[in-house]
Amino acid sequence: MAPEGKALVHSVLVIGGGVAGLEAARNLAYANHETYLIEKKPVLGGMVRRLNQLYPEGMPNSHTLEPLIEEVRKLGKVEIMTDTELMSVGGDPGNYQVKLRQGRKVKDLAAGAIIVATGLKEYDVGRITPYGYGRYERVLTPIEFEEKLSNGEIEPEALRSVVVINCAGSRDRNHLPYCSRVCCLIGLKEAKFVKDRNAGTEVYVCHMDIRSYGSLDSFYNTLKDVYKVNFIQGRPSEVQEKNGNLSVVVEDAVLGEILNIPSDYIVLNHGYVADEDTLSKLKIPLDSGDKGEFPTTYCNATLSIDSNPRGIFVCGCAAYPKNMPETLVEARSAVLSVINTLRDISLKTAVPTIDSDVCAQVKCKLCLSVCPYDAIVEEDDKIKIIPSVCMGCGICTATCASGANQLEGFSDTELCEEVERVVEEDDTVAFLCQWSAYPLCKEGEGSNLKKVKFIKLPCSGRASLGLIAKVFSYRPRNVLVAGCYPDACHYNRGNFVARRRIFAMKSLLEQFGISSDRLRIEWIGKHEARKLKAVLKEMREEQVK
Amino acid sequence: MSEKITLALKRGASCVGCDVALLNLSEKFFELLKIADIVFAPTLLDVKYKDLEAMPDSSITIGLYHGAVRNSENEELAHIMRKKSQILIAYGACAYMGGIPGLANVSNRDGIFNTVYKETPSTDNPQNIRPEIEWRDEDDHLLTLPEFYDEVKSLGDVVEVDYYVPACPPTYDMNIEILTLAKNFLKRKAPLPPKGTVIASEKALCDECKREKKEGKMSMERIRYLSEIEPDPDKCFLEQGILCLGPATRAGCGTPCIEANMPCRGCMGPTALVAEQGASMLSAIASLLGIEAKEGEQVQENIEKLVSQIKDPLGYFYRFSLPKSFLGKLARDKEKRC
Repeated sequence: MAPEGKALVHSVLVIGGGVAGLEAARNLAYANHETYLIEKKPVLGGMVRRLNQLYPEGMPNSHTLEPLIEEVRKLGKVEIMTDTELMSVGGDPGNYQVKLRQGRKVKDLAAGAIIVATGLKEYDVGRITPYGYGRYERVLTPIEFEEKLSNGEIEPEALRSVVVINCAGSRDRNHLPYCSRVCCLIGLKEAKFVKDRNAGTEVYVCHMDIRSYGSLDSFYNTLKDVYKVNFIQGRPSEVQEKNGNLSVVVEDAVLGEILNIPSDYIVLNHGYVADEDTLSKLKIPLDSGDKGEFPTTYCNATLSIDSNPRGIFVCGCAAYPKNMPETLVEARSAVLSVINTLRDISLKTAVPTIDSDVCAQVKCKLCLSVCPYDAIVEEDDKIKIIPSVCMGCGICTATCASGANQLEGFSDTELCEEVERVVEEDDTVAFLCQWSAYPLCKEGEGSNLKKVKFIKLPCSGRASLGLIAKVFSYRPRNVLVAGCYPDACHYNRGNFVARRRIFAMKSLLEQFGISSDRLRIEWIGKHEARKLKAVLKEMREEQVK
Repeated sequence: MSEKITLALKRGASCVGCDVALLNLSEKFFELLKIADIVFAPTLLDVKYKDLEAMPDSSITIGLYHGAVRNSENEELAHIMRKKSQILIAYGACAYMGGIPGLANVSNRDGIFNTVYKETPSTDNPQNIRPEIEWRDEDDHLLTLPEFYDEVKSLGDVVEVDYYVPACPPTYDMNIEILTLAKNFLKRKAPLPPKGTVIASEKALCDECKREKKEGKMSMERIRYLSEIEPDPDKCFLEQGILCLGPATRAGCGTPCIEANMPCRGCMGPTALVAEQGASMLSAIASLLGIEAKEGEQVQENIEKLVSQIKDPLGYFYRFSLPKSFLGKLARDKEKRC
């Protein structure tokens, strides 16, 4: 999808020189894409470089990291720039203008697509005051603990007791409301790390529940049964200090007792937050603006090739915390998405045209706000659609009151003509989203219902009230608008916009003396042929009041 | 004198504001009189219906009909005006689209009579007397009244109309435009516009609005009404959360309302591109309202509450266009069924 009038750039920018970025760069090089790999630190390796070993096998990080770095260097197609930071990104997919800062120098380059592999940040455990991080020297983060234990600062032989506090600040409204996904396993890793060095040390893991998903559950069982690690279900209330001795106060939820566990070292197994810096420069929205939550909504949406309008892909821990195998897989999948994006076989649907004369009269700019992709911009005093960013949902067309904005294939004229052609008195007219309900009506389910007329929409968000008013003028029995379930909209929010419109229309219909029951909005999933049929049957049985 | 055209001015269901609007030509009124003889105008002249009926067919050059068609008298006179006029103009929002009287189409004759002759607190009508079309008194005199219709129609619904002049009421400039058209036609300078033309701008109202719009996106957290705030006279009303029908409305009025710090109410009707003036505007407002909120978390009741900020959508968005609208026709349809 070459941006209009601009050359398609085949080189790719990878931001972040950790495992995700390296793996992405490696695969891009094999796919013959010139790649720029930038890393803001002086060395490559990211978070993995700071770890001592990886769970569950305890494999030293060097086994994965160093060969990867070496291969990327050898390939020659990857220009590695350390001490380099992203300043800004302009342009469109297929031709981004990137500004980088290298010390005092500013460097410009062009890239067709961007892979974001900036990783994550550790949550600041100092904010959990009852645990005394920063106050007591022997309260450490997992990375600090691993480092001290492996470099001899902590002597394993002298360790009598270690407490690992899982979910330190996680799943906690006052800190991080979400699960960071990898910490449970990090807790297991720390326990094994100690036990491997001194089997006689008592290790306690205080947890909410252990989320050792998939085959990793055997790791948990081994630690419990073979290594005899003590698992205590309960969130510790505080770390106490008496005469230089630390202890952890926790209510054991299983025994119903309050325990006070003396401990030489306490490991605060904290959660992780997004590295907002780069993400915000790329305008990638976080799930909740201020809490450092990861951009999962964006990342999940961009898994589908035709719903990522930007040519900017997030992989690895920048998307959300994950382990090494998951990171590698995601890096490769991002590369595949980039290759597809830069290949000129566009799967893109038609985009709306804006009659610039009509729009120039109104310039209400309502469409700018409703576009889920920021594909509508004001440029040279004109409202324009960026075709390479637009996904063709038609939410803007249904918002445009002046009629200036018309989505090709689903314009007001085309839809009204279809209505005129197919709708008869006493029909049930079903406007169906092309991603969920519309394919169902073709599959026989419901298609044999008499007096039901199906009209395809790109998204329920294309259902404008002008169109619905037009349909009602043909005296149908009732009208259905079917969209995807909340949070399942292909275009992020088309279904919600549709719902607001339909609710507004219902109150208008009531004022006209037309029962609002005659207009329905339903969420129908793409596998719910039965629900579609049931809804339509119910609507056929309704009598016009 | 033979060069002079003749002009008739007849009202249907109208507030007579359109008569006054024509008089508002002020000194230009004499220019009108230079080119036109006003042969029939009950508001201005002492004339009777029989005078109009007595005129030869097509003897009136331009017939201006203002007001909606509410009863059989309005309709009868509309037909007579059509017969007597070479050019019949639906003059003003009511004749054009049904206008304010057209709002009554959500009810019907019985509903309206019940309200007027029975239910209003000030009504004192123990015998339940209502208007009858025919009545014979004790001396067998037949008394008649026009029939009150179930629905309000626009002029175009009952007779063929040559041109439409929107607005409530047509402004000075719009009247000057008609006058100029007539003058130019008389001097054989310019052909008349094609039949069915709406004599006003083809553009959207916002084109004439001088208010400023901020750069970039617009948001509408909540809707505000004039009863709550004093609008900023320099800012776009929609930006201030005030419902304004500008985007879906035809230009040509010169935005007198907006200059008086009142949002557009849509009396010019829609432009040719607008699907349905009221519904299209409601679509735009409902799309934007609360767009910033995190919607996935909102339950149905919250959406209902949010949308309920749009008070009286029918009165607001269909104030002038109801009888001509898709939904208005459906509502009318329903009355027939009852």
